[in-house]
Amino acid sequence: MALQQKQFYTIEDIYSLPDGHRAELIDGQIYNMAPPSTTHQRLVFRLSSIIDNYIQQKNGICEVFISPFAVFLNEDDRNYVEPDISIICDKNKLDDRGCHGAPDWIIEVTSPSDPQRDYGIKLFKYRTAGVREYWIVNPLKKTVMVYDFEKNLFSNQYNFGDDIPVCIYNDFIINVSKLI
Amino acid sequence: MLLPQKQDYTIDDIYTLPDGQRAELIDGEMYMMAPPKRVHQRLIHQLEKRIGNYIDANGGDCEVYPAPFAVFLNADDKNYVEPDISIVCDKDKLNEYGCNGAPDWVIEIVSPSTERIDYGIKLFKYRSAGVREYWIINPVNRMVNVYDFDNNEKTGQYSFDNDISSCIYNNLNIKIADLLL
Repeated sequence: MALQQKQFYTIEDIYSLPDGHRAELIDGQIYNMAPPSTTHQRLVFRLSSIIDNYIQQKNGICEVFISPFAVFLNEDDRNYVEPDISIICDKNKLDDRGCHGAPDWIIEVTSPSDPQRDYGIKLFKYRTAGVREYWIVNPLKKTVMVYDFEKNLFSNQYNFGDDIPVCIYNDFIINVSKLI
Repeated sequence: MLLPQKQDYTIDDIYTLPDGQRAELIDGEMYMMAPPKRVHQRLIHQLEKRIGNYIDANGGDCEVYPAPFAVFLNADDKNYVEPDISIVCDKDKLNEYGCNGAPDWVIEIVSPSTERIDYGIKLFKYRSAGVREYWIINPVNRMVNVYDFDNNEKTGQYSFDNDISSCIYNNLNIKIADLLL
């Protein structure tokens, strides 16, 4: 749940959290992160593996990062997120702390505690920050929401059993059921 | 040089379509509408009844309109949509043609021909136009996506078996499965 005691937090507040305590910052609001479940971690691992394999096989330049990985979404001090999976194609955005600016493709696996963050707040932040593609994978409902921010061709709701076309890669299809 | 865009249609083009042909216009781009399926119409009718009864019982002054109902979303000539259900609370927005500006609550029932628009372009258009609540109902997946644009509390994905609480009406709960009995 969102803590809202203070009006605006900054990235300094994120870095001064006690060790082991993780949170995200969106427009100055802090959102605590719950420890992930087994299913959550399995999905993150399998999805990131198949995406990384695809990129390696194609000698692509994009890189896959899994959380915890810092994304300074708007390159300001009011926004800090840790997407479950970030695919970044511009090496200039990367340094030792994380990614400065929008990743090309973000995947979030929902946790039951805070679905409105992935389906609502982050959806609109990611879109305006310049993310090209956003997936919301819901292990409870076994659905994947795909947002094709670039061309709008593939925005849709898919089931785990569907062959889902990746928007940023023309010849890449993922079937979530086959991964787990 | 700026080339004239072929997708630069206006509301005039919508009103000059042949009789019986329906289309929507979003940012000057035209989207043709296919005839709806039976479950689609059943859901529209049941939702309209459920929400209408709730408003009547509570003495509310919002009005429910089922499609076809014209919404001039941005009150300009580049945007014309026909949401499956529009709930409009500001009577000043209504005239003989339809609704000028954003309805308070919009419900779309997706079909194979509209799902990409409902989940994509319309979501962002509705939000930026000032719609307060948006539901996307998927009869195939039996899922409802709720967007609580006012305060984000109820945003999420629900199934047909969940009791879904409306965002603009605190004590209106709808279980879609009950509407299909």
